[in-house]
Amino acid sequence: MSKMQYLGGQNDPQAAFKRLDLAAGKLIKLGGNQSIDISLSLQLALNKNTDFHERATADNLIYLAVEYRAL
Amino acid sequence: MDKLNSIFAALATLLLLASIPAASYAEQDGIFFDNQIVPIVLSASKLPQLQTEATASITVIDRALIKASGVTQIPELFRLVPGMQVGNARGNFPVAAYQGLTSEFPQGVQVVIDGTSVYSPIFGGVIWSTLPIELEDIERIEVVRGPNNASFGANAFQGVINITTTHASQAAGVKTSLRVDNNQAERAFFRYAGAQADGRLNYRLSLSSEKKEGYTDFSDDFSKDALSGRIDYRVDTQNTFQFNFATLDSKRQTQNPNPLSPFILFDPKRDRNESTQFALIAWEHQINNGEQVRTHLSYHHFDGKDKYNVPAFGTFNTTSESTTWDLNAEHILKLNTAQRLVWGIGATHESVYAPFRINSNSTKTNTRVRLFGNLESRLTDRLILNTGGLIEHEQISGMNVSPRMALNYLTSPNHAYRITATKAFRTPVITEEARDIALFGATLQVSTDNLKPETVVSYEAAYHGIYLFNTLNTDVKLFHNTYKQLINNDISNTPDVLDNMDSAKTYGAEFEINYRPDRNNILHAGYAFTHVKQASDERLTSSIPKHNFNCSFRTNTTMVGVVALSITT
Repeated sequence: MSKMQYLGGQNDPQAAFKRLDLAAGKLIKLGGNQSIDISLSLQLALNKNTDFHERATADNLIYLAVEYRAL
Repeated sequence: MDKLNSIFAALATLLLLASIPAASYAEQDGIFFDNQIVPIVLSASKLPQLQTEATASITVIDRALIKASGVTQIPELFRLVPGMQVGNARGNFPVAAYQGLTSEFPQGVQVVIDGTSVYSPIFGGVIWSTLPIELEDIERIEVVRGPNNASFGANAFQGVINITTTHASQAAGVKTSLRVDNNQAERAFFRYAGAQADGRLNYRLSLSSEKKEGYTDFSDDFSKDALSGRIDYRVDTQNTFQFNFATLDSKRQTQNPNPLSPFILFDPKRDRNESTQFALIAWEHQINNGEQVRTHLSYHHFDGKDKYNVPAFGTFNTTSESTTWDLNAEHILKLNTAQRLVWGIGATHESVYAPFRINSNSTKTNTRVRLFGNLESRLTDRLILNTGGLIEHEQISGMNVSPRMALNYLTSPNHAYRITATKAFRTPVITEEARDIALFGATLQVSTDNLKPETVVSYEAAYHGIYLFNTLNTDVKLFHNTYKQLINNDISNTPDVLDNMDSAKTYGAEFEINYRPDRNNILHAGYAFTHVKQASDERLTSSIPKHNFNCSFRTNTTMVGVVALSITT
């Protein structure tokens, strides 16, 4: 997204940014209509993202999630 | 080095996951990629329409795309929408706007949950961190890219985010999840859904608890506990009731992010406690195959407690509270073989307590009533004309009218060209109409008398095409918008007067594709270009990102599992 600045705010302009997010997931069937879904997300994989202020820099984030379902 | 470590850790975990034998995704329902494209939309005119026959360009984010996107909070989904900008106004305070011209409370985008608006009467826009809904309970989101007062009333000024929650019967069983990240975020979610033996009564209940850090150098920790649910009761083949409820409490650290700001003293580090209560009851009556009535009554209360002490100056109260009641009835009917009509009436009552913003301890109210409709006429086999509009009267800004006309020309059932013309408006919220911010008797910002609604006249020319046996959906839109009476909100001029001095003209193009060759693969991409042809102030131009692009690809193989990649630029 190109840079922009919110109206009426006191923040810095939102700098132009590029972001690459990666995700992977695996479903494991346990039987009896039960399953576990494991997923991993990597946000901002290659670069930091400067948000509303030059100090507001988001570094890459890695999320690990485990989901259990039983029908 | 930290980044490299993170990436290596991610790759190692991917390899570990890949080593676990996978179930056959082709046999799974409701896990990943469980929906093929069904190019029918409800949000353009409130009539169920094929996308080729709809009055607007709509981005559909269904459960398969939500699940595959890997997002951790609802606003992140809108990175998938051409023309939408997603950011943060402060730590853990997300913002989602469309085509710029927006403050940190994007007032031009209407947000609707199961037919009722959750637009904040305090600030305009929505406070995403206290939205009374869980990501897991969303069935589908339709984002109307363009003004749509004619179907959604005031404040559907630039676009509409129409969220449909999962029917209780579609969430049967237990679902529980735990998510952690490398920045000390944790979230636990539990949902139980069941049904009565005869299947007429279905219910689901969701609980969630989360906490997360924000940016490294800011005090912006956030925590939230939420309880929500939905009950669906089918009385008989013609009558159904829906009841939604939600309650949540959150705590968000906040402070002025700029250490050099003249307001830093009055915007110190503190905890802001925010809570929301939401309830909706809806009755749907199917009269016959082509005719139905839907009525709802909703209640939405927001309480943002924010009272703190400023050394040497005393107590500051930037607390804000709002309550919204909304009553709405819609009637869809088939007039003849060539014409369908949807029409409705509604009333909304808002009350706001925001002493800092209006320099008063009294609660202000606003009531609006509306009449809306859309007539779809098949002039020929290839030509469809939609004519509609909204007449709305409200306490603050009086009577407003929003007409709309759209003409779709179908060269074949899967290929259509569309032109749409509409005029839309955004009425000032209570804290704009009554704005009076003062510090120790000195006025910082005040609204002019007789603040008028912002208006936009919008013209669109679009093409929607469906290729490859309904697996590839494409949408191209050219637009020209003329904004007038925009409310000036520039606190850098002190004292600032809110008035209708601003105006702008924009034009541009949006492009979107959604390709799902099978349930294991999704390619979704969008690009938007917006040019500011004329603006009364450079600030307006600066608020509009010129380009935005997104591309997401997800594939699912038996050997590896799900792999996804998303680029936003």
